[in-house]
Amino acid sequence: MNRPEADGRAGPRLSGEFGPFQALTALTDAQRRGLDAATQVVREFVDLLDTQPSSGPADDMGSVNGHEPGLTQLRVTVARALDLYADLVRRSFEGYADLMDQMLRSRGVELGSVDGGLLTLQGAAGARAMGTVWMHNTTARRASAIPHLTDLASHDGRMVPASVGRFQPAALTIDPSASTSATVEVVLGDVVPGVYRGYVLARGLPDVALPVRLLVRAEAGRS
Amino acid sequence: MTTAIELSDVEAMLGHYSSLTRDAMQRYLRDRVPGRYLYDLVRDYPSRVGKGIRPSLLMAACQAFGGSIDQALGPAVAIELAHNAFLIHDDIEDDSLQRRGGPTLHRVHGTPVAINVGDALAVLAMQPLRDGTPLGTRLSQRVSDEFVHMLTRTIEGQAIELGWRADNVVDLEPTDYLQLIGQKTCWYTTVWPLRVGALIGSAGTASLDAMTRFGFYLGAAFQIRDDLLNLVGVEAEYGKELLGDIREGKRTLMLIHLLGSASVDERKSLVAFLARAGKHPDVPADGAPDIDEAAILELMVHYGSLEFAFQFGQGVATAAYESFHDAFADVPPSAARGFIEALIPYMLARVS
Repeated sequence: MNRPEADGRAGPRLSGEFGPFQALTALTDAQRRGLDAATQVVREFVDLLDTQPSSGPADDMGSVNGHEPGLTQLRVTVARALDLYADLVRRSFEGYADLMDQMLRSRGVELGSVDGGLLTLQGAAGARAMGTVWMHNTTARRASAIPHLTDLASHDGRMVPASVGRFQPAALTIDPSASTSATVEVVLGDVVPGVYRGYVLARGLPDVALPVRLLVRAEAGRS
Repeated sequence: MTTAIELSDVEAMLGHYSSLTRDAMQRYLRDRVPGRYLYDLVRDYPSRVGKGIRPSLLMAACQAFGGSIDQALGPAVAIELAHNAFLIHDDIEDDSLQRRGGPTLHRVHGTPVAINVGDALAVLAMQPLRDGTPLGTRLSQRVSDEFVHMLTRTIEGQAIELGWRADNVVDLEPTDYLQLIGQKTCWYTTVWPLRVGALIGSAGTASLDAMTRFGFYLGAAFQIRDDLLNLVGVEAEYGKELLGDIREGKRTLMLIHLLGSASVDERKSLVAFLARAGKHPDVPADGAPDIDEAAILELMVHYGSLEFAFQFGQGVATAAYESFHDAFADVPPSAARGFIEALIPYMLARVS
């Protein structure tokens, strides 16, 4: 490095010509200290990495760039094939799930969803709507529960009677501090399109009161 | 084997990789609302042209091991966004004035807004890793695991540095410095990009320990040079205010060397200066220090601290050179491999 100018600040200039790196063969004391200190620290660095719990970065998988060059291509090919196969299975499953969903829809059945403690059921007038209800037994005793729907009301006073709802299974036995699910199906028959609200209650479990929103669309082909 | 690549070639390849990353990043960040209070500011630092070493290293490692740019682009955007998040928060922690040739975000928009923008960038950095399409589920999960680990190590390193400054820790050795920068700089600057690039390019079969070793040495050489540039670089090229590290009391290799070389009285003055530098600006200091940044630089020159750091960096770069040939032993020659090798002398010669 160059010596400083008188003011110290503006004077010193960084040396360091760019060119193909030549590993040092004769080291100055500072270079030797740099090399040794870095080697020591990196050893600790890698050792620490090896002791990381499994949630840490992926384990070293070995020797592509180490000591078995003959296996390199094979390992890469097999790893990629497995990865692609896993993807294929995942995509196939997602495709199958989509297909089932479409099939149910084509049969006039639509699946509900629970969002923030609200069960939403939807379907076209004349068809059916389906959803899943979870029952939680928060007591210390085994409970028998018979889920049922209340009447559903729209904002303008129209009603969908409770009798349109059917549960499968119709009766549930739930262990203490356990949960179980049932499927609710609503036959929409001649229900007028609109939004209706009510509850799922359960005889035997007084704390269960799941709000329900039923969205009924106009039958296909009708306005 | 040495490479015939020129400095201009390295800079051209850095520019190429950076440009790909910046374009992808801009596509990712555009059309987000609210613009005025958040996303306009989120786009600020990423739009200032930096060196792009992290995404470049990641993409080149991926290519060298047989992967494609498309596979590496998501993680490249992720690391660049995380880097920008770190920069914003670092600038606040250090109360820095300049970043990439412009005023720091908190100086323009205030600290609360800047913290929120940094938070947004950190969260946005996670998103490109969630798209498993280019890599498949298994590799995507591994890259995400690596990302979380890298962020953790970086933040732990930053905590140590802030702690040293707050407690005015002065009895330090060069190995302490290397351990510090191994955490706070190397992990996210070189180790993670190399590990993830090799991981993707080799579909998970490359030796990541070898990448860790090379990444550590390369990152250490990078940081030593960066610390030197802060003292004696050219401000217009460096992009930050010179002598900022001294003003902030950062424990650089030069400072550690000086603390071990100065006379008793000089060391006393230095320790008093560092005690003041480590305090929050709102905390009243005990009298004015009898030494300033320029005087400390003069002492560093006088005691050969700059020369020591430069030579020390050369020793580290020699270790990088050896470990490169171990890590890339079975990787065939390519432009990407040559670029990575050329980054070793680049780290010692760069001026920005």
